[in-house]
Amino acid sequence: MTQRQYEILFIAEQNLGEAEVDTLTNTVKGFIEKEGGTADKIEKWGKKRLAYPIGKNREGSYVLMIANCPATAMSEVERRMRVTDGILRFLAIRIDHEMKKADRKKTIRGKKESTRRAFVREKERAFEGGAQ
Amino acid sequence: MSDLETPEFRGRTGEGRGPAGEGRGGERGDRGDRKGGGGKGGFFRRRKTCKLCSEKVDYVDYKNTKLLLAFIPERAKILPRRMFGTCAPCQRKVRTAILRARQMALIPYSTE
Repeated sequence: MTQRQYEILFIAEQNLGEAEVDTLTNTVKGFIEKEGGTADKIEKWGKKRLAYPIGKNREGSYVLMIANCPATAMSEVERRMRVTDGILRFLAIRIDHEMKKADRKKTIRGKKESTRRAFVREKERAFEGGAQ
Repeated sequence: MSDLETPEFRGRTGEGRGPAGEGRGGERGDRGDRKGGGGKGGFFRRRKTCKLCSEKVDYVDYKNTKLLLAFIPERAKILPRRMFGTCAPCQRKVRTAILRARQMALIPYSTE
């Protein structure tokens, strides 16, 4: 099964303490591992003020995860997250192809850069020459 | 590139409008040009550069609220392309990122 990289961000309710957020994070990690994936990076943003209230929550604890998951597993992980108490909202997006695209862009630009710079310089010289 | 197009463009508006067609007036004449199948000269003159392309942002991250807030004025609506001058692919990326950030309550849907 092809592994894909996902980025999962979820908001925990404001009344949860730090320890409770940790257990929640572990549950979500458990969901991913149960489906044959791995949670590679877990980043806790801590309590942040929400841009708008969700339910009665004015703030929430954000947790970001980078997960490697089989292609079919994510729907199950999402379903489980949806029924988990304490998760206000979550967003799971696939990022491997985006990162690949960005990398490709970077390499193409690296190649182009030198030729482009020479091209621009030449044009500028031509323009200045015409103006005089 | 635009540098090269400019003299050609000026010559063209000069025919119809006289030498006064500079600055704002030039822009207006430019639009007229485009309606009449004007072509490249006018297009390049009006074009604002895409900030994302020129700053070499490869991946527009929805978590980067600082970047996204530049695209939404105080009412928190997404600025149209014509206001900001982003190129179409970049605008699409920005749009998706803003929608995602909104859903995660990182940036507001609207402000009072």
